[in-house]
Amino acid sequence: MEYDDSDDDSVQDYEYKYVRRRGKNFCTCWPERNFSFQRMNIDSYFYLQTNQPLDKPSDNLDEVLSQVETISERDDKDSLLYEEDEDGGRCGNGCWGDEDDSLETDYLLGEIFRYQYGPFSALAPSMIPRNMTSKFNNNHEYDILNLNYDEFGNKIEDSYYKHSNKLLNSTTLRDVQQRKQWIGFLKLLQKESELHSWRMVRNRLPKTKELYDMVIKGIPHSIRPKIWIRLTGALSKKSKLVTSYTDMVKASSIDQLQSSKQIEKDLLRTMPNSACFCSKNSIGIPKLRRLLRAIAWLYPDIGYCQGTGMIAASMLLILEEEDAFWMVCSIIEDLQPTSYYSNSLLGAQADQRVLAQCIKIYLPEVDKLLQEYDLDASVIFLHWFLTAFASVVNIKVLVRIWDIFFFDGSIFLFRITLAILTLKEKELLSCNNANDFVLTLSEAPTCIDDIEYLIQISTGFSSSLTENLIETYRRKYLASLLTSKCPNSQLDSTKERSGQNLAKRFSWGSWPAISNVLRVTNEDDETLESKNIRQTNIIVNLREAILQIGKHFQSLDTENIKLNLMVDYTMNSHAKDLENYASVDKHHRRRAKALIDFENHNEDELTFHKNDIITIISKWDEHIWIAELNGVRGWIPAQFVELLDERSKSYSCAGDDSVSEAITDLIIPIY
Amino acid sequence: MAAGPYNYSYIFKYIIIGDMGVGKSCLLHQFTEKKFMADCPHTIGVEFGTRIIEVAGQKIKLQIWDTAGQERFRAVTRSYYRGAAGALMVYDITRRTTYNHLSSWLTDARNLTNPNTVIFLIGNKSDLDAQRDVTYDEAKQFAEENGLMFLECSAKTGENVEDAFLDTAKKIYKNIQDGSLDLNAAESGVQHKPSNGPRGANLGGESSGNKDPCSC
Repeated sequence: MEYDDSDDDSVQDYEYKYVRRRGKNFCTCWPERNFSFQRMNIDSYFYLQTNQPLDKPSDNLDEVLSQVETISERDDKDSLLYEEDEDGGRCGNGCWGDEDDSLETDYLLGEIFRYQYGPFSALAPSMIPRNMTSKFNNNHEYDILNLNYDEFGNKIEDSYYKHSNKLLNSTTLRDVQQRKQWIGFLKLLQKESELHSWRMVRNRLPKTKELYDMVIKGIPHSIRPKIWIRLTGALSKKSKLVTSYTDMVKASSIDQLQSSKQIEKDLLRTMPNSACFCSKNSIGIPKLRRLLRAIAWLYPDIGYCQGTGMIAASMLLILEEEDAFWMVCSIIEDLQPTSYYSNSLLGAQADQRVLAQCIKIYLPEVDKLLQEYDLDASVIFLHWFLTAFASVVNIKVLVRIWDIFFFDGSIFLFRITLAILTLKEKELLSCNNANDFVLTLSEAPTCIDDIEYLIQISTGFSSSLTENLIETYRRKYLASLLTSKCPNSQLDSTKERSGQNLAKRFSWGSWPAISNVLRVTNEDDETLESKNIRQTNIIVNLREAILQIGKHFQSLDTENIKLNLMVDYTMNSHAKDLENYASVDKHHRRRAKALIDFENHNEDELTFHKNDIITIISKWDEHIWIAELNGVRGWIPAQFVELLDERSKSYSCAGDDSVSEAITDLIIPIY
Repeated sequence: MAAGPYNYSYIFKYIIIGDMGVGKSCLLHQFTEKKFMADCPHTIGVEFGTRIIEVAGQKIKLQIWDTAGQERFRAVTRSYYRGAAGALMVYDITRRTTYNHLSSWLTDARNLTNPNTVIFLIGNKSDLDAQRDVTYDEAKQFAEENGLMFLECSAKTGENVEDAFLDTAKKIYKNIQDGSLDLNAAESGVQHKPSNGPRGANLGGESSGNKDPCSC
C-alpha cells in the first residue's frame, strides 16, 4: 500500500492517525515540523475538505482525536477525490467555504491546521493543484511531489532561499491562540456569546482601534478569507449587488472584449512560479481568466490592466473565486484612488509623484541619490503600487501587508514602501553607481525576512504620514498631471476629469458613489465635527507651509539660521497681536504693491519694480505720493501702485506673483 | 572575464519597445543572461538590465530599459525614451497586429528621442517559422523605407539576439566616431567615461560585482 511508508526514512518518525467519522475518513494528523513531509499534507487536505464538525470542539488535539475512532484502513480515499472532482472546483463544505459554516468548526480545524506546514497547506481548498496530487495518488512520479513547493504552492528555488531563509521557515498558519483571540473579539463585537456561524458576523467590521491592533499582529490565516472580505466591504458589495458573479462571468464570456485577448496573453505570465498558475492546465488558470474577464466587463473604462492579474492571482490562492473577485473590486473602487488602473493610469502616476515627495521628506539622502542618478523612482515603485505588492514580495509577507492594506487603505502602501526603503537605506546609500542603486532598490522587497520589524517601522510613519497629507499631495499632482499632459492625450484626460466616477455597467444599489478625484464636500451633510476636522486640517497645512518656507529661507541664507521655527502656542504670543494690528493705523503708514516697473527720471523719484512692496510715507498729493523702498525715499506716481488692505490682514495677495517657484513648491495647496 | 572592477569607456542607454507579448523581456534576458526564460512574468512599467560589451576594443556598458507593452503604460514608459542612444523596436513574426502597430511605436520613438538615436527593428520568435504571419521581405522593406536596421531574432534559441544588440552599439559607436552624435548633448544617451582618466578611481568602485548579469 502506498501509505505504508516504512521504507521511507522521512516518514518513520511520525505518528500517522486516521480519523473516521460518519463513514468517511475525516482528517489526518501528525506532529509538527514536517516540512519535508509533503505527501501527507496533501493527503490530509482532501480529508479536511470533506469534514464534518465534531461533537465537542476542543483546543487539544489529543482530545479531538480521542473523540474519533482511529482507523488503519483508507479504503474510500479514492472515492473522496472523485467527489471533489465532480464538485467543479468549488469546495462548499470545507472550513473556507460557504457563509453558513460554523465559527467553531473553523476553530477546531484551526487547531488541526497548526500541524500542517507542508506544500499547498495555506491554499484555498479549491486551489490545490489536483493534477499533481492525483499523480501522487497513482503512486507514479513521486518526483513531481518531491519538487519543492511552499504552502502557497510557489516553487522553492535557489533564489527563494537567497534572501529569505528565515522567512521560508516561518509558518503562515498562525498559532491557535491568536485565532481564539479573534473569535473572542468577534463575539464581543456582536455582543453575542452565541455567535456560532460566520453568517452572523456583520458584513463590515467597524474600524476600531482594537481591530487595528489585532490586524497589525496579523490575521490568523485560516480565517483570513472571512476577515478580508469584512475589512474591505467586499462582502457588502457581494450581498448588495443584484447581478451575481456567475451572471457576470456568463456575460463576460459572451462579450467579445478586446481585453480578453490581452488577458489570454498574460494568463501564464502572471504567476509562472506557482503550481496553480504555471501551465495552461493549472488549476488556477480558468479561475483567473474568469475573474479578469468579469472585471474587464464590469469596468469598461479599465478593461484589463496588467498588474491587476497579479492581485487577482494572489487573491485566488487564498480566497474562493467569488470572494476573490469582490476583493479585487474593492481594491479598484475603494482602496486605490480613482483612475488607478484606467487607460491613462492617472491615479497611479499621481501616486508615484506623491511617493517621490514622501521620499524627499522622509529619506532625503535616498532622494538625493535618485536626483543625482537622474532616476525616476517609478521605474521600481509603479510595479509595487499597481500590484499592491502582489508578485513583489513573498506571499507570506504579502498576506501580512494586505491585512493592514485592507484596513488602512492605500496609505499603507506608502508607509510600507518607506519602511522597506528605511530598512535598505544604508545599503542604498553605499551604492556608488546608478546600476547598483536600481538593483538594490528592486531587490529590496525580496530581502524582507522580518515582517514584524518591517510592520513596526511602517507604523512609525503613521503619525506624520497622514491620510490628509497624501490626499493633498495627490490632488496637487493629479492637477499638474492633468494640465501637463501632452496634447494628444488631453482628450482622454478631460473625459476622465468630467466623469470623475469610475464607469461601471451598473450601480451598486445603495452603495455610495465612488470617491471622486476632487472630493467635493456637500455642505448640507457636513456635520459640525467634520467641519472642525476640515478646518483643523487647513490650519495644520498652513502651519506646515509656513514651516517649510522658514526652512527654505534658512537654507538659503545663513543669517536666517537664528530664525526660530518653533511654534509658540502660549497665550503670551498673542499679546502683541492687537498692538501690531493697531500700529499700522497709528503710524498712518500704509504699504502698497507695485503694479508695474517704474524707473526714476529725476533723483527725487523712487525706482521700483513690479510686485515690490513699498511703504507709503505721505499721500499729501492725490497723484504723487512720497514712498520708501529699501531705505530710499522718493516721489512715486500713485496710479502705479495698489494699496494693500492690511487691516483685514489679506497679506496673501501681496507679492504672490513674485514668489519664486521654489517657494510655491514648498506649499501644499489647500483646496 | 577578469574578476576585477570593470572599466568601460561608454555607457549607452537602450530602450526596448513594442506590443504586449512580443518577447521584449525575453530578448533582454537572453541578451543579459544568455538564457531563455520561459516563465517570464509580464512587465509592469519598466524593467532594467545591463551588460558590458566590446566594440572596436572599447568596453561599453549597455543600460537597457525594458518597457511594458500594454497601451496604457505608454504614458509611463514615454519618459524613458528621453536620452536613449538605441531603441529596439520589437514585433512578433507570428502575430500580424504587432507588426501593424509598428508605425505607432516608430512615431513615439522618433518624437521622443533625438534624431541620432539608432532604431533597430526586431522580428522576434523566428523559431516559430511555421506560424509566420509577417514575411521577412515585407519587414525588411518597411525597415529600409524608414531607415531602420533590421533582423529577425529568436529569444528562445538566441538566434541573432546578440547581433541585434551589438549592431546597434556598433552603429552608435560609429556615429560617435564620425562626429554625428554629439556626446556633449544632454540627450545623446551616451556617457563617456575615460577608463584611465582621473575619474578612473571612482569608477573602480562601480563594479557591479556579482549583481551584474554579465559577470557570470
